[in-house]
Amino acid sequence: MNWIKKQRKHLRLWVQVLFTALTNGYVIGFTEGKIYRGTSKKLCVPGLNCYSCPGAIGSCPIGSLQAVIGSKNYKFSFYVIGFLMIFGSLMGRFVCGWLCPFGLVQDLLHKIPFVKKIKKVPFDRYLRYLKYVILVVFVIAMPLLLVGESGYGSPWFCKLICPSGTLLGGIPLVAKNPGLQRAIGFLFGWKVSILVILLILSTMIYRPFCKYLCPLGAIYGIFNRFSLYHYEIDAAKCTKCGLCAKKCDMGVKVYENPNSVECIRCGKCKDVCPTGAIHSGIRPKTGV
Amino acid sequence: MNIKKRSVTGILLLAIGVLFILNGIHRNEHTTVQNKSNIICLECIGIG
Repeated sequence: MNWIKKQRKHLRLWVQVLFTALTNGYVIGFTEGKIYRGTSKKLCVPGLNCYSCPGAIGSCPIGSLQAVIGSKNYKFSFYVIGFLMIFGSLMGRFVCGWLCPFGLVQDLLHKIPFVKKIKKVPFDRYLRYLKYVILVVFVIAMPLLLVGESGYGSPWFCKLICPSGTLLGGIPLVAKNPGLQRAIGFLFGWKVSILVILLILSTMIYRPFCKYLCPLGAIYGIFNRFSLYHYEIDAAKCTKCGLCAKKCDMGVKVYENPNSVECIRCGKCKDVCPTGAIHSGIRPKTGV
Repeated sequence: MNIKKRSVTGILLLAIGVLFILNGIHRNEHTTVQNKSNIICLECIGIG
């Protein structure tokens, strides 16, 4: 356990890299500019991983949710919400911290030195609610209500916002397909602009997309309060020194609210706690 | 939330999640997911 404690920082990075590689393991897709078409695509992966990424072997839960509720046959998706409930009740936002490919991209960009890091973003408290607005408006209401003559709604979040889809799906596919290159227009420019802004912001602000915009993070955040994997503070050991809150890049006061909707379970607070008062697990204090 | 309440809630949500997936399969929702994900989603990549 001590070795894991010492190596936690690198352990998380390795898990992120390995999981991203595993769920985007269709290498031929990248070299030939096509996507994987197999039965595993009917299963949802936990993170924001576009199913039009050439390497993707599973489906993005947010894309799938919009596809099902936007189809003329269904107005509610038991299937996709079932996946979200399983991932959420097991892990909550552990998914964001350890398993999401776009989280990994933002983490890596934030490691770039010589860029001034912004810890306090103006209106941070209010901006955090944006992700819930995006979830309700772009992921649920618009695909459900703005239905064309065909009876199908568009995946509006994917279409107008999702930077993960642009980075993992759009750019690799367009780079390899002359047909797609001829088809790009204003929308592609819009999406690339959003991506570029977020990538630049990620070098200065820790995970701006996860904090302010991600609808998947909004869903898993709600589960943080109920998930089997969780954090606990040992009140007998905690001196309320505030080191955990100071170290937290997501701005969580861990000693007050260890299961905050914003906590991505990165574990930095545990590493920095001088008294070892922060425990994590299914039954944290017993180490299970 | 104490550990017992959290465990019960977590397991309950997990069980509901499994039931939801089974109901989704019964309603053939998984086919919609597969059909959508097996073609390049032009909207998702910023073309359509």
